[in-house]
Amino acid sequence: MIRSKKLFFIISLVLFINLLIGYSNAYADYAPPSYNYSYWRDSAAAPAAYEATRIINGELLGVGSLKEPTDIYVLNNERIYILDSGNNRIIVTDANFKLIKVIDSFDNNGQIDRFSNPQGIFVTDDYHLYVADTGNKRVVHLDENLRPVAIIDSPESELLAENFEFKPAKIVVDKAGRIYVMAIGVFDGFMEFSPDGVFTTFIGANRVKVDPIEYLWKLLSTREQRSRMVQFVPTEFTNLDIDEDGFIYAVSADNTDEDVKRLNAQGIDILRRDGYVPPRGDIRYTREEGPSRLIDIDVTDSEIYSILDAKRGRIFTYNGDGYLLYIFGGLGNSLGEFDTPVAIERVGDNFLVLDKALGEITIFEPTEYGRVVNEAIRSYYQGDEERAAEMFTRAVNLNANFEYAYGGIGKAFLRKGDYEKAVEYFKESMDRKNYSKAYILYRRETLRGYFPLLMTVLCILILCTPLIKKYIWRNIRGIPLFEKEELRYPLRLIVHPYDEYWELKYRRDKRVNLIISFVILALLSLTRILQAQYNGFLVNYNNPREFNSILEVVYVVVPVLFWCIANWSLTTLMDGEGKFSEIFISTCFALIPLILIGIPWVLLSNYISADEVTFYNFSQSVAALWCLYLLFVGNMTVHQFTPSKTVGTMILTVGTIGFLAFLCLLFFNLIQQLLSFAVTVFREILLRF
Amino acid sequence: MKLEKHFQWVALRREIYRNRHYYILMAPYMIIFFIFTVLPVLASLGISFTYFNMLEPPRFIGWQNYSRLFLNDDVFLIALRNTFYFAIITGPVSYIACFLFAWIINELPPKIRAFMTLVFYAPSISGNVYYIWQIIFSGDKYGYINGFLMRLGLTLEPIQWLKDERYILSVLIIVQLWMSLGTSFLAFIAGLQTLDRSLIEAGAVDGIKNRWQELWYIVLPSMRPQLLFGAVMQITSSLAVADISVALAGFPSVNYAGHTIVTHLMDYGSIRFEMGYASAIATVLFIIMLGTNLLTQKLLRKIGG
Repeated sequence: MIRSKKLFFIISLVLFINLLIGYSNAYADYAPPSYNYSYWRDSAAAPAAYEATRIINGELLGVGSLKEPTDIYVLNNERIYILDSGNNRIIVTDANFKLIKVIDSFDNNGQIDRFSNPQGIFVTDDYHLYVADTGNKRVVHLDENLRPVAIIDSPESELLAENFEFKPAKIVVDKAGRIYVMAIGVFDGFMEFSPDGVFTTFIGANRVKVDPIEYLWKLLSTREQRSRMVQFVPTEFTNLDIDEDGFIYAVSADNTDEDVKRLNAQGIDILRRDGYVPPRGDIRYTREEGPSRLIDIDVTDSEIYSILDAKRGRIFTYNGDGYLLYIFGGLGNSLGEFDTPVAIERVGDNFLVLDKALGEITIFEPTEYGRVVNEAIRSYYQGDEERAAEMFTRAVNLNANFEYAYGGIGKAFLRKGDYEKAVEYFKESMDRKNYSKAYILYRRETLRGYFPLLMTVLCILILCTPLIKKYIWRNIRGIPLFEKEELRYPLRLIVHPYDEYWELKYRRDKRVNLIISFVILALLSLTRILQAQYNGFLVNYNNPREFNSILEVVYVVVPVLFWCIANWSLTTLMDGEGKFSEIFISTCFALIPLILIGIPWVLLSNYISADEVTFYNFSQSVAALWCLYLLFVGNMTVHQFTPSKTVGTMILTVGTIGFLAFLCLLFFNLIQQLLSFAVTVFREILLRF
Repeated sequence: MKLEKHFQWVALRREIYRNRHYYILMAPYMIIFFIFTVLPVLASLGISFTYFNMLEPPRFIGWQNYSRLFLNDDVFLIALRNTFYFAIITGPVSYIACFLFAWIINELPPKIRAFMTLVFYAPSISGNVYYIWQIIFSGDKYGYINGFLMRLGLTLEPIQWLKDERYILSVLIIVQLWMSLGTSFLAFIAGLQTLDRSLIEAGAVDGIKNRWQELWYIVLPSMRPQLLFGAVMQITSSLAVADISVALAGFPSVNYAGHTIVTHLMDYGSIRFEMGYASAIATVLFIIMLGTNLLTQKLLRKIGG
């Protein structure tokens, strides 16, 4: 009997482990599911926006295999330039990858000149070719017949150091012909050259990222030590692109929220970051994996830009406001996955991803979902909100988790004047700014209907105040419930704390006080729960999925208990007169303002706009300060301390709470370890016999 | 019951008849007060429910003016907010400052006291000398503050104090504070001088420990009338700020940053001649003043309690 039971246990355990392994296996076989980040920064499943359809490599083009290609450039959706760095050549094809020509040399004043390990390429509308010829430490500018217009080899300027070595890596050219070069080993930003190739200035340097601890060390160390330390230098950019309006989009691998930048002519970052997550690739990652490393950026029309994450091979596409639209790609061996992706470009709505190690280009075509999203963003950018709303509705039908789309639909409703619907949709997209805008209009519209009635009633009420005071209020006060002393003195206490705390300590029945204290605690817990659940959208930042009423009660009760215990243990040492029950009662009574101010606001906060949130915050702080004041008076009265001593004990109490919390953590940690030890021993025994 | 009421009336009539001389003496003032103060207020209240453009007779439109004021007029809401800022900052601050200065000056020897009183009262008798402030806060580099800041190297280019939304209100509040050491300041000095010294001595005997207790338990309660007068003056003046806003920030100010209820009133009353709407604004202002005055009176009653 016993044996069979053990057998059963072992079998079920094995089955369970099997299940786990099988499950994870199944997961690994799966293509990486498409996802997007929600407002709460969770990854939410999303349909794939792009599908890999084709792979292009050197053999297919008929030019022999590509060797470590580093850059591609697409000119007006008609010509594709592939920079085959390992073979020091440029392959030019049309949009369907039909070979046009191969450029591997050019005529430099009668001599044949070649590239050496070029890293970046740019082509202007009139087929002028700019190549960052890294190996030769120069930038080559060729005209449409491949005759050199200018060759920038060693720029001279006061801004550059004596021993400056010019190693251009990436290059863009604006409409005016100014050349922006990202050079290796330059920390001051991009190098800007005038159209005739004269170095003018640096623009858009990254800011120095300082680790506070390192900074402290630096402050403490001597000059000599400091000179041997690593200097704080701004990070280099990893790539750049330029949009139709001449703004430079730059990426760096800094792992900050400012990894992607949009630089204006002055080099100031003007990228909008209004999205749910900052534009920096993946924001949820394990510690071993680390954050995304951005290696390329591509901007198309309508301010849509995509960034390429070299670490996980994913492509993140954002719109101009910084909302994440879709994610696709990955590392691996199947179609649509890469080994070492280095560059992305767009031909129309198709993505080209260049893989350096494999020497091939993967072509991605949009799925229906991708097309709908692109179309929606474009329509909205062009001001066609009607069509944008239609597209957003379709996108929502394909992906109900796409929160940004609800905002787009809301905007259309707002424009149409349907404020009620707009409010609803903005709430769905968690867009507080627009929600408030729509809500003000909606509220006005509603109020306008009721205004005369409301005002008339108010005026009548004000005119009748003496009568109300005389007849009705007296009767209300006469209701037995209100006559009850137990109900009235907690309320009197909050306005006359000195008198009432004294009464509380010396006059009133302690049993009744304790009951009232527990009622207050319960009410405060209720307030917190109501606040978390029913507070207005504009002031409620709780994730409804993480909401737990029991935890809210714990959040109320535990701090109060901690406070009372800490205070009691301190004041017994400091000649305080108060007993534990008295401390508990006085603390609970001090919490009344939090309830009195908190509960009405639960209702009221549903009817406020963003401007009025100030009042909400103001009254919350009033409640907190009032509570603190009552706590102070209560403490002083209970222990019969002087004011200064009370302040001292209160500060010390806070310190003691920290200490107590530490002890508790230690205790629980030990218990946990003990338990896990016991579990291990138990398992060991199980597995052996 | 009815009989009792009848007797009350008879008694009242007899009382009036007995004091008829007082009523006659009071009459000229009361008549003028009624005609020039009470009547306009009542008329404005009435007109606020009408559409009145000074050409056609007023037409009754109910609550429409108020509805427009609170629900349609964004500028009014800005004006309301600015006025409240003025009242909340300048009101209490200048009230307390008035009292503190009065208290300090009162300690000086009589001759210096008279001189200092004049010095502190000067801003409010000097009337429209906003020009000084215009030079001080001038937007070019010759403005005193800009010149000073640039000389110190704190700013590199002049700040448009009176044209930049961010600064207008603060500048106006500073100027208003400077101007507000007026009548209530004089009233406080008068109040402090009529203080009964024997009360302080008695207080010292009864166990008053320091000057703050003396202030709270003796000085302030015994000058409650002056305090009330000062409070009313201060509230009305800080709620009715308009001249300095117009003189310094212009009319209308940039993006209505210095707009107050009274400038809004001026806009609709004397420029657009929408008298009904202007009356509604005036009524709202009147109610706000009434409310704040009632509130301060309640608060002042607590002094020395």
